[in-house]
Amino acid sequence: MLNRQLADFGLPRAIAWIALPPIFVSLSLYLFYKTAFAQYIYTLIAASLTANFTGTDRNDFLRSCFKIGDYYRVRLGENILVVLPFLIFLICKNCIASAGILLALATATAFISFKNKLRFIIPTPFYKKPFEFISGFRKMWPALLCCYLVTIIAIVVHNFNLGVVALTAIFLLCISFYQEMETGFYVRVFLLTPHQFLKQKIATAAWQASLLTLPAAIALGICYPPHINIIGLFFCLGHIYLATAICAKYSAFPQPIALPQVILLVAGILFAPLLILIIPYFYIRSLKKLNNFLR
Amino acid sequence: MISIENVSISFGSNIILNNVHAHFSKGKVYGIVGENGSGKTTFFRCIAGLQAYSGHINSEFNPLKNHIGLLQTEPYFFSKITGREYLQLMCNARNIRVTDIDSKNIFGLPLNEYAATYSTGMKKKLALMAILMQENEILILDEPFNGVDIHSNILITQIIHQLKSLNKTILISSHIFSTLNATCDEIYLLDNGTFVKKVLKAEFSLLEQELINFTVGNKIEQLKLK
Repeated sequence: MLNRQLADFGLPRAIAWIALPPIFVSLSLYLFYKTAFAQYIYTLIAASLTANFTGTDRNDFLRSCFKIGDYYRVRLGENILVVLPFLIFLICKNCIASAGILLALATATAFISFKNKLRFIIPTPFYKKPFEFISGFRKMWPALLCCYLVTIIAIVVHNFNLGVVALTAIFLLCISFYQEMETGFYVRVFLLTPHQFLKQKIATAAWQASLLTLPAAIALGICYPPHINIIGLFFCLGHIYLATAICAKYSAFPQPIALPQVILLVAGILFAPLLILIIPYFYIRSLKKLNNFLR
Repeated sequence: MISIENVSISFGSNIILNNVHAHFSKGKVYGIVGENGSGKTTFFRCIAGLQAYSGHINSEFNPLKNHIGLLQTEPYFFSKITGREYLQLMCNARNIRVTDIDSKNIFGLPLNEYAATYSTGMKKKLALMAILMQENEILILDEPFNGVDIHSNILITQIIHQLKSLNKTILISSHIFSTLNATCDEIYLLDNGTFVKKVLKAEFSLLEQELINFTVGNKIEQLKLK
């Protein structure tokens, strides 16, 4: 499955398997270098990966395929395999207690399956234009809540930088709402030209993202009046990156966004002036791709 | 009116549609029958503009796709979107003001629940409701009766009759002959990517008998059921 996902992502399998271990180790070292809470964050990230295997539908299928003993062996094997790199790193870092907790969590979740089709409907302010934001908000509301909490903490502890990080994180969450690729049917149904379609998508994203980011931005602005220009700058940049991500998404449509688009997007995020070239490139490619559906 | 001329599609050496010709008029209901994999869905996707093809599909509507409502065999719903929000999205797409969804909910769907959690039949009914609310001139219904309960089957049949009286063009595929018999004016038989036969309403019973003879043959004896 992972090999197929890598292929879909446009990454040759051999290169991916050679590149992944050093990338993993580098990121882990960076996390441990950056914060004293790294081992807890690290354990949490690793444990959360096992949650991917707890869906009811998936587990019902596995139960129907295997005898009960084999089923639990498969679940346990999957969980251990996923957390193994994290376990090894924690042991190397001499974080034995965290490694033990992670192992216990991975073992415990092998015996759990969650019904992932929650019946509870989370109300959102996006019902007039329901699509990416309404779906993304309902999936990511705990993360959004965390961002707002971090904003409050930033204000309480007088840490402006932390507030900017929270604002940026909200924008990143908004960008992540555009990960799920719709089918051609959902594009074809619109009475719009490719240009109008993109314009409408970007405009909708702009006001819906504003609904989510403005509370944090305004709170920071009120508490840090001298930094209002920095808040404004991050607010504008967030919107520009969001528009870029939308164009990047449709530049590959109906295929999922692949490695070349990701590289360009990351390059644009790391070095904003590149956006002058990247945005028109994505925009023109999107028009071409959308033309197949909206002609 | 839709005119199909020389429409062909192939994936590599696999020919899906081969020089298909057909003419669909306003105010008529057309049935498309054929075995699984005969190309019915691909044919519908071509008309709806979701599939590239060679040949010509002409219509008085320009662009045609703006007047077509396609009910897919397995409608796809974006996750974490309720039935009501899906209807809103589909109406937004056609610049139609949504009014009084609840009174139009004749199938009694739980519109405030996530559409992705609906049963197969409920998903189909929701997708049908959406294309009806879009006020399309041409409706393409790919297996509209499949997975739907008997009460809704009766309702869908009546909806098709009403749409016909409103001078809409309707194309239906179904594997249940009785549903086509009750709704269609003409039936096209699709085989190996080509329409091999066009049958008028008066000859439906003959076609049904022909299909039974061809399909069943001596296959039941071959099973040697005990």
